[in-house]
Amino acid sequence: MFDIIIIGAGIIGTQMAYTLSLTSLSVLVLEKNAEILNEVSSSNSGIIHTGYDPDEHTLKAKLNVRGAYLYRELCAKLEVPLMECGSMIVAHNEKEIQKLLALKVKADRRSIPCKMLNQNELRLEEPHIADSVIQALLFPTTAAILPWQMGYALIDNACQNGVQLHTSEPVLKVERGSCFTVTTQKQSYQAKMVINCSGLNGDKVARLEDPDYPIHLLYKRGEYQVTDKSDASYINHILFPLPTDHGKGVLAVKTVEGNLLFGPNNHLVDDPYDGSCTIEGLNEIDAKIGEVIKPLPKSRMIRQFAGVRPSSPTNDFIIEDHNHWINVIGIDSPGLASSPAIAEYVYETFVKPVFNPIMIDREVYIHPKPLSEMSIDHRNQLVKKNPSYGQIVCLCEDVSLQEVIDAIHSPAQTKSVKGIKRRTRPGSGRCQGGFCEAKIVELLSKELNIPRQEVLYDNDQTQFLIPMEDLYEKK
Amino acid sequence: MKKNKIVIIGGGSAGLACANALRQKGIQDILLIEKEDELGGILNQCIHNGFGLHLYKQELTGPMYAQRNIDLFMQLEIPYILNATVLNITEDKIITISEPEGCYQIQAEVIVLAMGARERTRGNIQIPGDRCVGVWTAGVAQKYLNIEGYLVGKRIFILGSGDIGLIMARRLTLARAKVVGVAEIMPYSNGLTRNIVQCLHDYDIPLYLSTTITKITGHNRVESITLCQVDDQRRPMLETAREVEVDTVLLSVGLIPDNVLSEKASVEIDHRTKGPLVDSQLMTNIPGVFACGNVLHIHDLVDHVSMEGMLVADSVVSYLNDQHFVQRIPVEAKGELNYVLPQYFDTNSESLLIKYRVTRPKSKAFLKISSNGKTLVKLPKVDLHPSEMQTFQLPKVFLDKINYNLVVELCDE
Ligand SMILES: Cc1cc2nc3c(=O)[nH]c(=O)nc-3n(C[C@H](O)[C@H](O)[C@H](O)COP(=O)(O)OP(=O)(O)OC[C@H]3O[C@@H](n4cnc5c(N)ncnc54)[C@H](O)[C@@H]3O)c2cc1C
Repeated sequence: MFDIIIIGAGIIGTQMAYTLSLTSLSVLVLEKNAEILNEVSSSNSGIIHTGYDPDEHTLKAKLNVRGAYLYRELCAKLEVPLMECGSMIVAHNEKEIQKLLALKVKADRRSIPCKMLNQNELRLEEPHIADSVIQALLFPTTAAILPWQMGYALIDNACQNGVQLHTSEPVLKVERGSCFTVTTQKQSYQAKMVINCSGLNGDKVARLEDPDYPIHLLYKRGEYQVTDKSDASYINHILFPLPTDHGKGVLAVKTVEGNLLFGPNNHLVDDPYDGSCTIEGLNEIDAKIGEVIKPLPKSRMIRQFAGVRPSSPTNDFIIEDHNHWINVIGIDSPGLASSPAIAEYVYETFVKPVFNPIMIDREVYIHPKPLSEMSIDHRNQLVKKNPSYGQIVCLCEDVSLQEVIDAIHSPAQTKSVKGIKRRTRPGSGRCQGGFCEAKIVELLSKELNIPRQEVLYDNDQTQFLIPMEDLYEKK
Repeated sequence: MKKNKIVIIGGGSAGLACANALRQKGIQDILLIEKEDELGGILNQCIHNGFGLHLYKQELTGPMYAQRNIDLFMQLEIPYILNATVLNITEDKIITISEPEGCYQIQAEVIVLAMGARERTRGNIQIPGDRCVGVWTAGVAQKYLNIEGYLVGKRIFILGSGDIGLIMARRLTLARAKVVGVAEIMPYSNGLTRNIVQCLHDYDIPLYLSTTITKITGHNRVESITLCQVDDQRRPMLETAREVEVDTVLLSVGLIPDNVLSEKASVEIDHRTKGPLVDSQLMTNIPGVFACGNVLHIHDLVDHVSMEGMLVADSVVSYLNDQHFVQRIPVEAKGELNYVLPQYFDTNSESLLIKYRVTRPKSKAFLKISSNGKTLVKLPKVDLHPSEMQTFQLPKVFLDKINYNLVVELCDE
């Protein structure tokens, strides 16, 4: 019997797991995919918004402002890079300037620092801003993170602190008796409380517990273009158009690693797992980004992807207690920015009153620094201790063999090519895995002690290699 | 800091040929750096034959061709390091290396860039659709098959009729996969004619010209693709769309010279070749930094790569003999030429080998070479094809006549 079962290991589930791992509670995380953080939390803009945008008196407004504050502490503690690059919202005409001023009033009321910039000021800061921009509102404290870096830091710490993580186990059935019985395809588990953090599946999982659960999520897809890191200096801030009813618009953001993201658009889709990119969508992004920056040629793009937002019909987060079954659903933007505050809120409001657990002082697990950020001397010292730190497997991103091995054996483990890519970057550079993929597969096979044909690319059922011997035997 | 006279980055055909030629000219202080655990470069995975016709008058397989160069390299006892990755080069020719022995810097007097190329990816050409497993570049599939012994799929479609794609169509068929077809967005193939015949026709694999993939569909794994014909502006004609069931898409949509390191050393890059801008000695804008092979421009025949490596060896020797190439005369491409190499002629050169590619197939045309408004040479050419690099050695008598500029033009009359 567990005290608490968390369903879903996205950014909300991992924040929840980490928060609970600092207490005496026993916790199990059930994740349906082979790899954690593989849905909404891995395909977004990675922005820690300051909280100027959400409507007054919403959970979004309250938790976003608080979340942005908590991130500072959390990132410092877990040594996760947080890039406080600031953001600008741009205006093209008098009407838009009025809207900027209205936003400024809202931000001032929430004590969020911001400042209007005129033509000269904004062009000094952003030489590649679109010619049509005439003023901008600067938010110096808007920041960016790599969501999966945060998520992995959280889950690795949680696992080290005793939380159990079971991947490849979708929750299929829930029964309520004196406690909850939660059943996956492998096993049944008992717990006194369940926290539903299942993202795109949020309403469906809620209906496992209450078949009459009324809320139906809306799925809003957002597509992106990604540039190579060599364009990192093209922009200095995150650059937004004015927000509308359809969200924050097509923006330009520099990731912590230096790639630029252009997107997302916002279109309703029927299938929550339809993360496809369309010709129309990519054209739309190409057109709209031109309202914010001077566009880069298409040939600079190295990747396209899409994420789907699980939005609630009320446009606010839904965080509610049904007699020890806690739903945390409809967590669309700014869900990432709010996530530490969401976990804190759930803990303070629903968990603490029930369990009143003891807080435990845990040792912090810090991810090893990437070699690519170290001095030559520092790297040399490491290589002298272990030659595998000297052997580079990924040229584009400068990643050594040993860093991949370390990632495979981190507390929460990694078992797919995609997981390795997220944790240590091979495959995310300009060759997109051309040089290194076969080596990563070989390492996964060796370290996990499985044949290469069993190595997963991504989710379950994504094994992809067929040994030649097999083919010849069959005939 | 350790010093080396000549550092060659890359142990593929270009690097090996350059190293061997340098040593044969009596240069002792050479160091060749290779990131993989063996020498030979990309040829090691090209197990088909057809290499060496020009240089050795023989049809060798890729590994055989590589081995000839490696054997000579070993015999000449040229120093080299394997599993060693160059992380950085500076304008001052300081090279940062990471290898299992350590992470350190060396100071070079001459650097030869011979890092080869990478393949253009799905992201570069922006094929819409799902991001499912089952999309690889042809070279990656080739490596899995020929080096590791694994197939990546059973029902395969190939986008792009570049040579690697054509070779892989045959190779996969021989490995008992079903190659459903090859699509090419251009109205003509981008591969060598002999490959179209020997790899597609001989195995009844259809080639769809003026056709592209407009969508990849699949949940975890590729399930189907949407094929669409394109108009003369290469825009998909949606009414021609049809779905084809496959589990794998291989991309053979071109190679890009891999110049990330070169750019770090402020080497200027030609936006057309995507390789360094070089003079007739194949020296870049940084004195003492030379380039050869696929890092300079994409070759269709390895023989030309080797010859380029040897040419660099000649240039390095004259550079070390203190011949400063001071006067650089720009070489311009005109007419239907994709590019011309070199981009500069330096007046100390004793020869000028011009390399060029046409933008589209031409059955008949004239190559006109002129300087400062005066025509030096005009010669008829037939059956020119973008996939086949052309070379022209400018007769020595004309070298003195070059001044102000050199224009290489393809014209109809
Ligand atoms: C295009 C886009 C841009 C965005 N930009 C930003 C931004 O810049 N800033 C910001 O703050 N927010 C942004 N967001 C929002 C943010 O990404 C989300 O709010 C956040 O990632 C949601 O996290 P989650 O944990 O709720 O969902 P998820 O990350 O999807 O996690 C849910 C997990 O539950 C698992 N699961 C589902 N069903 C089951 C089951 N039955 N059993 C077990 N496990 C299950 C899933 O596999 C998944 O791992 C953006 C979102 C999108 C789509």
